[in-house]
Amino acid sequence: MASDTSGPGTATGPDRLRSTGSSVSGLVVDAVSVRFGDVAAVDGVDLHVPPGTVTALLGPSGCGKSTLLRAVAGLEPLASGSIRWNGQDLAGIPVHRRGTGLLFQDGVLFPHRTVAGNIGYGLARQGVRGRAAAPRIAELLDLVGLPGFADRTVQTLSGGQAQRVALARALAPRPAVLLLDEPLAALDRELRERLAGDLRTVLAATGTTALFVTHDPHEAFTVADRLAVMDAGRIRQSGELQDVRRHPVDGFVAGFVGYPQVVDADGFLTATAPAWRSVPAADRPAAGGRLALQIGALTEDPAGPLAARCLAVRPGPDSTVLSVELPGVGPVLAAASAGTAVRPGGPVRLRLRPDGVVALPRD
Amino acid sequence: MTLTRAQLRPSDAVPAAPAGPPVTRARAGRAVRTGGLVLLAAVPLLVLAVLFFYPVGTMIGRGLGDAGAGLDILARPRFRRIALFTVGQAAASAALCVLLGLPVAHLVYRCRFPGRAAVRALLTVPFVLPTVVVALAFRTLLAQDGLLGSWRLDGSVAAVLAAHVCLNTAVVVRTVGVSWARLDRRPGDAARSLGASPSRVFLTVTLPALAPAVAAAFTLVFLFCATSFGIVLILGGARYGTLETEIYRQTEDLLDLPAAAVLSVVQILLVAAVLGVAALLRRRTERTLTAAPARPTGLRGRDLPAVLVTLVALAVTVGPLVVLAVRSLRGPGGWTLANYRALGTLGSDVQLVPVTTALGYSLRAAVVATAVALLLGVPLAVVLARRPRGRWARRWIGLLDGVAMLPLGVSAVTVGFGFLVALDRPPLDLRSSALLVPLAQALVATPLVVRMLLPVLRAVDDRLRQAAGLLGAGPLAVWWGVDLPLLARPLAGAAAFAFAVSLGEFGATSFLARPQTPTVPVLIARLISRPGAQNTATALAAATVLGLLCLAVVAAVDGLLDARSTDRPGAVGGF
Repeated sequence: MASDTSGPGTATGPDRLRSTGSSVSGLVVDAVSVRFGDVAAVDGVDLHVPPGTVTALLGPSGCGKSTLLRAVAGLEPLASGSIRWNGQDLAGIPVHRRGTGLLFQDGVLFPHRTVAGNIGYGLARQGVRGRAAAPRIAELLDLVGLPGFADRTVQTLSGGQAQRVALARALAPRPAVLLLDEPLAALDRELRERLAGDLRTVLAATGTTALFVTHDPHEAFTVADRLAVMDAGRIRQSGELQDVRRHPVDGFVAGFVGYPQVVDADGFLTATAPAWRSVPAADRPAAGGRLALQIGALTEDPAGPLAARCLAVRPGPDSTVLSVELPGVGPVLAAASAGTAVRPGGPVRLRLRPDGVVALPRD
Repeated sequence: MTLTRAQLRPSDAVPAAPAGPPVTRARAGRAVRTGGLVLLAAVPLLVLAVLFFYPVGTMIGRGLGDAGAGLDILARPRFRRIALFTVGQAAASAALCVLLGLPVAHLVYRCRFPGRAAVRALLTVPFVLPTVVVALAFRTLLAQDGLLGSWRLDGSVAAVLAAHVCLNTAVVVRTVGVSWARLDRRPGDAARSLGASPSRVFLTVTLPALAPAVAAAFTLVFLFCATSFGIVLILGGARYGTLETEIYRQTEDLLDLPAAAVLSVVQILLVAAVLGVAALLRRRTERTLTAAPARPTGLRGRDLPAVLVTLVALAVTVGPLVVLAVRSLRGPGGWTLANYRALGTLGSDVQLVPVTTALGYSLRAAVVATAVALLLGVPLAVVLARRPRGRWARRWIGLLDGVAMLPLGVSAVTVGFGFLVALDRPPLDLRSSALLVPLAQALVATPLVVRMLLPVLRAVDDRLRQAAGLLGAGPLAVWWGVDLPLLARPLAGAAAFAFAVSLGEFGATSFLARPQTPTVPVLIARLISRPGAQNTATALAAATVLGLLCLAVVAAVDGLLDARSTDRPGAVGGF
């Protein structure tokens, strides 16, 4: 089950709110389970999305994050638990009265309506139609960077444009909570990165409370304030972005926040002892547990204090990843510059970046 | 190292391939493939030309010798009444089928409940039954001494509409239901999250998405009802007639060939127009919609209206058939098998042969008709399933589609009479041939075979064929290894359906079957056209046997009662 983030200072960790009563503001997911037959797709999840913030729900495919999102929207019945908005239980409130916006992977625009017809759909449900809706539609098109697109048919839009229209459509009725289901996954990488930044800007500008499902850590870090890492229907860890990043509770979470390798602490600290001398004792990881490493925790440097043997060289466009044999540790990954002269089988000198190493709590 | 032919074949991705032999070879290969397809289409087209267009053309040409007379016929008030009734009753029937079919489609394709497969199968039952059987069932129910005799609906428009609804609701349920089940649920979810209530979502998102399927189902049912013969002849009585029954009356009773020919032309124009609309709509429904289809949900309180409508639909479709079967087991003294024993005897003065003998004729004709329909329909479907890049090739295929479908809508009576007037001298003197009836039945069944196979062939992921091709399979090997295995089950289903249709064919057969060798539907119609309790009783038993036979064939081959069968493309009723 999820364990607390042992972060210094703030008490992050799974937002367990049953005890704190029902007056917590924002979106509260309280011990929610969703079952499909005998399978629990979402299994006792607790989550808190404070008002005006964006929480990324990060996890591998099939971990239940999209199902949780649909449950918040009211599209999946809960097997148990409750979902509250500003203290009000949403159980029994039908989807269309919840005030939750929804954004899908590929936009899902209504094909038989124009861009304005799509954006105006939610406004019409609030009684704002025709001329009265036009200023708001224009304002939203400006916001998402598509001024003048109102009368276009949706078939003429590119993937990125369609997704911007979908965002405008979801924001038009000013939803209390915006739910985003991998909204950038269908776009190519460059567009995805640009749109992720734009998404962040738009959400911040509108002060929207949002829950953002993604399997891509980069997207999560670009768009969100807070992070919840999910696996097999459960939340492994949640909290402020930087807290989760600095203090992952286990190797799984560490892998999602940029520490893809886990090593035995004692062997690694012994092998890298020369590099720790300049680090104050208080900042050194404790011996006897396990450590999670960023790829850049060890970097190739001819003047570095650590000696190792290079096992393999994996070149990339702007940096190279080395697999190195560190005595007493085994193979680990290290970063090198794109033009490195290190060859497989040859010696390599390494430097340690202490902030690329985190200690995992003991199980 | 040797390169395989596939590796050498230039592809579109390598436009800069050196000019010379490879390109020429590719062009030659394409020519061979195109030639093969043209040949594949040519044989069925030739048969259609001889057996359909020549007789129908002859009949029409003979009748239209005098254009002025044709206009006179169109000016007759009787004609106007008949034309209006044809279109009006077909539109009303199709509208009723849609009204009834939509809630049922929701229930049996979007909800999950015990007995769902059985409900689907039951609703499909009348669709595979001969129209004569369904007509007799409604007549039995509504006759003065029938269960609903007090409603005084015998010989009324309502009786005709009810029988059409019984026969065709399954078309709407299936066409719309399959679309509905595959519908992307997310636009609806998006609308809900934007504040639309479930009913608002249905009106603004679901219905527009289903519109092509609804319209396609409507046109199909309209077509079936506009050319309906057996139902109108038996239930419409003397008061109501469609173009189809009127053509029959003008030729068979009044021998007014010009009038029949004019009516045929009007009907062909009507059908061509409807088919054109249907083809347009079909193009829009056959694209794959599957993105994130919704899981069927359990029954909820708001499904109650749909449940009630489904019960009504079941009552209309299955009720009369049960009444028919029960009445066939009743005699003056209560329960009896006497009516069935009478099937083997010459119990009535209108019969030249016992029903059992007629059954033999029916079965023999249906077997031949099925074989011919498959021989014509499979090559046509294979060609029609192609989606060529070229504009002209696409147009040719569109035209071929229309040509192949035309027999579906042209009056079976016209076909039957055309056979009589056109195929009566050498080199094609089929008048006394035993092939006359099966060939006419095959013409009726062929478009249905094509319609059942086409969606399956078109649904084959083209990348499967490309993968096979890249692994070195030639066009024939691809067809043998990819298309045919996927086609096996629908092919069996189409064969069974063609058999059932041939067995029940009434319009053309009633012209062509000689009195001493009638098929069962023809004999049933003759029996009930004469007064006498024994005639009716024998007809009831004969209709029950015929109906059960059709059902058994389709159920055995197609797995009518197999829940999965109604989901896949090409299942009975899926054209």
